[in-house]
Amino acid sequence: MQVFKAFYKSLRRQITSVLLYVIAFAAISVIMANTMSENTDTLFTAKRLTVAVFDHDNTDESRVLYNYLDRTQNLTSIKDDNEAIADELFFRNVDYVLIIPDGFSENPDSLKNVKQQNSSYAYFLDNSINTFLNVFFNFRNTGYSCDEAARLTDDCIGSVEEATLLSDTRQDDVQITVQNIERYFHYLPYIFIATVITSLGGLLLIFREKNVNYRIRCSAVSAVHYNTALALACLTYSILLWLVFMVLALTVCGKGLLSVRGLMLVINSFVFLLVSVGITYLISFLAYNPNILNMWSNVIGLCMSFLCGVFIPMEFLGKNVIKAAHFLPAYWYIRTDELCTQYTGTSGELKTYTMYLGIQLLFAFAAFSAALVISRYKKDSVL
Amino acid sequence: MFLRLFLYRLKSIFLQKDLTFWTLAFPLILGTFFYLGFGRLLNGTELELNTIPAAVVTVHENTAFETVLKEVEKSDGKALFDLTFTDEDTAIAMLKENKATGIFYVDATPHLTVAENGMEQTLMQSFLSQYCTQSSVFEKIAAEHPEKLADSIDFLSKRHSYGSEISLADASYDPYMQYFYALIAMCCLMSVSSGVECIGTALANLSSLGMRRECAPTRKSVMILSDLAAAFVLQSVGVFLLFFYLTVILKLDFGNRLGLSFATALMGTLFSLAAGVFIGIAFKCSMHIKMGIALVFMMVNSFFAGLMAATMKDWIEHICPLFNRINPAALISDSLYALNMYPSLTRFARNMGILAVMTLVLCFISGLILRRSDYASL
Repeated sequence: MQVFKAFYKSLRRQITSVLLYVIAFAAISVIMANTMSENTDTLFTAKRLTVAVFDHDNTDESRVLYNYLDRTQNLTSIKDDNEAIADELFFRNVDYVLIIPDGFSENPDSLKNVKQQNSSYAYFLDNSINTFLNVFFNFRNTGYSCDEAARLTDDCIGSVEEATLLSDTRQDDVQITVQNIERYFHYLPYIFIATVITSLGGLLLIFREKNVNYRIRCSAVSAVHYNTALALACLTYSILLWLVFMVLALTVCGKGLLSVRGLMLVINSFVFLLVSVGITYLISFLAYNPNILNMWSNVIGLCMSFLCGVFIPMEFLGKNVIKAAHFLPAYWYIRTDELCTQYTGTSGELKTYTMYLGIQLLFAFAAFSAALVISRYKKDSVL
Repeated sequence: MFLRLFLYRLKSIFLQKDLTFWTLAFPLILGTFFYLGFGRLLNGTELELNTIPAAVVTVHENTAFETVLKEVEKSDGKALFDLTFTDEDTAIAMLKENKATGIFYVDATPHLTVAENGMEQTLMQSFLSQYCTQSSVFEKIAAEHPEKLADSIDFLSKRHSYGSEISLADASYDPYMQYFYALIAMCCLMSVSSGVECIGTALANLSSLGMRRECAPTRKSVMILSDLAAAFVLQSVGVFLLFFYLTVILKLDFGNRLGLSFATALMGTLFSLAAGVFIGIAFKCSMHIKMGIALVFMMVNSFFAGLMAATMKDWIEHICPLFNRINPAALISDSLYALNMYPSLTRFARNMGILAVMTLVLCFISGLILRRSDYASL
């Protein structure tokens, strides 16, 4: 038990830096859970944006477009100057700028726009303008006058019914706060990898330090006993870390976590924690310096998160990228996460869930095994 | 003396092969994986769609809608929807069991029911909107101008896209470049740990090497500045390699002001070194904790600049815009964006000015703390 005790003595001495990492990444996980929000009660809700329109064409067609935007958005006037437009966008006085150039009525493709960076509502407005113009120019080509075409376009677009969200699709007893639970657990792979590698990795580096390592190997403690004690220490530390994040999950997600789906997500997160510990154990043999350890944590954490659908939805990734992602544990975590959020209680789903957990456990086992092989290689190469 | 110390420090940095390799390779590795993740989106490649399973419930007969549902195809020629015609109860059960993404109700005015938000549900609603709009159009044209109906169908089926987003600086712009701007910002902020290390090897209370160097007759300012200059050279080489890799190998478009973009990154590196020195001096704790503070500083600032989630900077801009004005990662990524998007250099100059002022303030405070401190004995 001496190795186990030595681990926790080291932890006590480095508690400040460990707490620093844990608090920072815990804060990031909470912010991510609360800010990546979409309204799930109503679908595709268009928002009235603050729009500036510069009509250089001044024809009937351009005025129709102007009037459409006047009815559906909040129009504002700004100076017609690139620098002024840039400043207004920067200070968020305007969300979308539409420039109707001279000759628009003959060549509608010449329309230009500048919009807020990464605003989904602005892209939605793009779509609305395209739909309006498609229908409007179709009526114009048929022979209707501008005013008549505009009136008919409004009638046709107004005839669309919005999709209905089926309520009561969940079979759980407790109403789940779907948004927060899904988002909190969705980003956990990055949080776990980054936190475990930086905090636990830093503690393991103490044991990998050359002179300490030599003294341990000279001792009466066998390699098996030493590795077992160290692995147990890592595991218990990680479980404590995991409990901290689960208590945080309870605060963020509320009673919604206390459900079948919530429990499945919690178990999934625990299994991925084991994967993170395995990866950290392996990395601790490859990094000899806290700087290099930090770089490993960023490379593994960020790259796995981008390639496995954590930060970018999987439907946007290429087929080859998804095929390659099958060899990364975070991919299986995300697949399990998606299954949990849509779980309806069938035995087939439960079987698939168990299979995905098993795959993640295999990754953890592989990482631990690779770590033991490397430790054996390093031992033999020195002696 | 400065030159001698600078050259020796540079030599000792490059002799630490592992650390040098990681400092130079880390940004390239991240950039490669970002490109692999975003590659398709950057090239504007059309997303590949899977066939969407949908249940169909007939309320009132609408042959036209049913025909369109069956015949609508994806760009690869395969059917867009995998349809199951059934009754309402079975359809709802299918929706709850996730065997169908949505239920189309065949009616005089067709409508859609879904279980949740998502890309496939958005596609289904978009399809329905398009159908309802177009069928209203065709009904009106068929009633009043039947001879124009064929042309109208042909026109609307093409689904023309009007206009395009422009850059005010007459450069092309891709919204996913924001992730690469944040990546460059994070790579600049990596220099914080180099700054902390420079102080760690210069101060007697932090390392045995620091003790020996404090005993030397060389002025502390010359020693620290030469160390920082050497660290700056290494980081600059790393940033240059990153720009070269992103623009020449990966062929990403950083606009036509590459020189100023590189200068932005250098300014960011300078700030990070100054921040590292400040962290090394101001916090009275072990080197381990200082390095932890440096790492947290880098990750938190990069996170709020949108490295992991593109909308983060936008969210901060709404809640606390002042934070975006002092977050170095946000200033760097914003400068890179402004150079690409806006013709005037005002915004770029404003951000660089803020960075320069913060650098000077940090240097000044660090100098105040360090000056005239001496050891009676070591």
